[in-house]
Amino acid sequence: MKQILYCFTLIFFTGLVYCQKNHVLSGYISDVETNETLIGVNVIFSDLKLGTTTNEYGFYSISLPEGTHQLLVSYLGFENYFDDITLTQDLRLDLKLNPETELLDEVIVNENIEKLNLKSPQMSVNTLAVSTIKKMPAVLGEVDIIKSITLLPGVTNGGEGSSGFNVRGGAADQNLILLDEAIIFNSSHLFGFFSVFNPDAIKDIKLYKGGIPSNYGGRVSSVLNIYQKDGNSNDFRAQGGLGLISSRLLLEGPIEKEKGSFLVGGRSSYVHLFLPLIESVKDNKAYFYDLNTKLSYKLNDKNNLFLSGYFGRDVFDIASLFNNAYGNSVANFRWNHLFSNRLFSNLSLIYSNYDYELNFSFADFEWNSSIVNFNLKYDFKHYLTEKIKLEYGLNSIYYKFDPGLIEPTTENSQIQTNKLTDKYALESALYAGINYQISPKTSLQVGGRLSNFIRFGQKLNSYKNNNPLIYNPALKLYRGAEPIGQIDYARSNVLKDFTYFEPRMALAYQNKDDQSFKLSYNRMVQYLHLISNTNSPTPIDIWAPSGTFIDPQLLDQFALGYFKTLGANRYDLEFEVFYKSIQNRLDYIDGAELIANNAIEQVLLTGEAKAKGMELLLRKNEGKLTGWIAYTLSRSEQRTPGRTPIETGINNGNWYFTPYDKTHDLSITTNYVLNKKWDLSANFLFQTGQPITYPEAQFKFQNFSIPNFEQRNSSRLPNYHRLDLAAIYTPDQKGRPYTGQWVFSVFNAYNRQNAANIRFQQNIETGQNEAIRLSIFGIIPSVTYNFKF
Amino acid sequence: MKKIYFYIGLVIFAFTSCEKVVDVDLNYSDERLVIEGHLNWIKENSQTEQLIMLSKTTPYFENLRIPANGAQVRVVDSQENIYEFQEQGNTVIIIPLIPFLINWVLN
Repeated sequence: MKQILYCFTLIFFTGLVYCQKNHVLSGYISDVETNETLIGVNVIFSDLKLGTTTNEYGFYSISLPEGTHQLLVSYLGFENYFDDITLTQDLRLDLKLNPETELLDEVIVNENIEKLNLKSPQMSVNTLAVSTIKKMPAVLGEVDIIKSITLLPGVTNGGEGSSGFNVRGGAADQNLILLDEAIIFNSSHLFGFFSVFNPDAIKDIKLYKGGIPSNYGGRVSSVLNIYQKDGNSNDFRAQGGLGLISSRLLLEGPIEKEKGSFLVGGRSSYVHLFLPLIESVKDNKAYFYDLNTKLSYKLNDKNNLFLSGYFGRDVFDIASLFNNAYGNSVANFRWNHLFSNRLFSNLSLIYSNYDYELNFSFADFEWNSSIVNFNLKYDFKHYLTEKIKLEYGLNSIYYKFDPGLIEPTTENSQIQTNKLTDKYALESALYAGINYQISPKTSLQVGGRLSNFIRFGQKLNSYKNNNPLIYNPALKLYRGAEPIGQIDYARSNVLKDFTYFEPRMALAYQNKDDQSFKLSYNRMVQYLHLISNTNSPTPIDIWAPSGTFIDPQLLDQFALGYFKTLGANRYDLEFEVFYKSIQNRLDYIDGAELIANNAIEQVLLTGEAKAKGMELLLRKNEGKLTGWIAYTLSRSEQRTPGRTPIETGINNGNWYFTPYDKTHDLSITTNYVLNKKWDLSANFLFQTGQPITYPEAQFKFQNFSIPNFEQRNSSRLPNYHRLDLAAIYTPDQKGRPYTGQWVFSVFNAYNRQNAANIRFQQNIETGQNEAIRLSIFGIIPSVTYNFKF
Repeated sequence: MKKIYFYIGLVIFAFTSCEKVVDVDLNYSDERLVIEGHLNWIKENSQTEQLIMLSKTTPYFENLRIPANGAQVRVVDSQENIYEFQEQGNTVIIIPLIPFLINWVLN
């Protein structure tokens, strides 16, 4: 693949490459204090009007004409680096940047964080520095990466107390969440109150909402890429925080100075320690913990090795009647290798296991289930010329889905042992993309991904006419067909395979120094489906791979954007419109039973989804007051028509709102540096209420009131809004061996009772029907103490 | 100890989610006819209970049963025998006694 591409590009671009005498400048850029490599650093040659950025491993490479050039290196929270570079041959230049220090007399805030890149064709992407996230007010003082990205345009939360997120009207299972390249299947702790990412261990996060480059695939809505820190290879450091719900501690330091480092970060909640003191809940337990580990080693100038691990777990125990534990375990080996100063490669070998177990002591049975996957990724970044950058690689993931083993735990249990059928699949892809600066004003990113999915043999039901779902036209109802047999295919058999080509394209036209227009199209394929009838992911959701009865989801997305910097880089303005359509979106027949269903094909119908919208982001980057306003106007709908003209489908085959359709979504995030000791911040969120199906009438049967429900999702919960406030107090640190910080926050400051759900019931005493609103978080003040050695 | 209690106070507060009866404006669909039929044969005393009630759907929060009057109700069994039901009182349509047969099926 590599060779083919290389030849291909050589043939086409030989003229460009060798028409002038060029030399390659390349190297790694890191933080002088920690030796932590820095992602997305701008390397700019203003005299040549050329520039590049460091990749996710801190590497850059650029070819420049022979001679002396002015180099400017700039990055968030770091001092700018200026130098005159004289090139007479290829040069390796590893740079270390100094963190920006505050001047004594006044506070100068010049965090050019998350700045807009006007030239790059990449659009619909948001980066957030962990330092920004840490300043945001958080629920219970627990800094949360997933909640912070819901403040970005086009991103909404999956409902109160939910860790899932929805991007541009897509479902929560359509987000690819990567932690150091490993796929995370469940991003929530405590059933969604917190996300699984320990902010202290995170270096950088990046969210792609559209124009997704060809190196990502497998989910149709977005890619959330989270990089863990490598660990400090200069000095031993410790940092942590004490909060009301949980505490965290992170240790990092050199194994070999400037060459090798380690990082160990742990986080644990301890609410359960106090529960025994309270009579009503003393038999209950609910806690989570997680552990981030990483070893980094620089073998030589050309080779870096990384070994990282993540282990997280949640445990619930309700009066010893019901017991639940779940978590992700990820082990990850990576090898960065420079084949030349123009060719960077990364090989990743990843093992990941997501498992959950439920133990129903009151019913004497337990249920264990897991998804295990082995993931091989080999990615190349080829800096061919100053104008052409290639990215190509391959990816192959082997999955084993174990939907569960249900076992009786005692002899007199009513439950019989039930093994749900294991499923095996292989998802592979080859991709290539080119980033080509056509002219000083125009740049293009074109790529493609050839993806393939193979379902291996297993026990499979067979149905009359191959139809697992029968429609009864008289009653207008669907019901599962009775299997006529079961065939046990050997694992080596291929039950079904799919191959798709996914084109990706993005174009940027910078018509002025301070503004540009961008355009993108991407097709993506998702082979895994989350079988869930809740709006946000829960641990018992089951992932169903595509196969004999289920086709993969196909997405086409178009986006158009206008980008401008205002007032000498002080403000960024981003305006985007998007349209996307998804084929083969699953929905469930009325009354579908999803939990422990071994023949899910009997309750599924296939439909389509579409979403369109407009996003506006205005961001202030500098000064005492920083922050952004994000507004999104969008519409997200789906339709599940009948398979034949006689069938009604779902909702009579009409379009209906998806549960994550939020017409208006406004978020305002601000941070104000009051003085050297006090830092104040506030968030405000407003979202249109989520679509819901209400009763539209009732009738009496005997003495019970039976609701008659309206068309699916045709009403809405009340609008969601809240204000969060935080104040960070950093006492004078002079003469202390450590730095400490108090974070005071108030979540939902005006105690808005936002509806997580509204349910309807007949009051047992009065016989009167009533609506009951569940709201999860009222006003929550909290305090956290953070320290650093 | 005081401190611990303070913590607990906060934690409990945090996890006390709140349920409240609220007013919700619901859509109301067009009236629909509701047919509730009881054609029972009670084995123990060989009695029959035959009752067909016709009413209309009501808005969800209105605790009423609105009768549908003036209907002609007819039950047909598998032998094509037709049983006409008569309206009685305001809400109920009742009788005649349908002889129950074994494997008796209504169309």
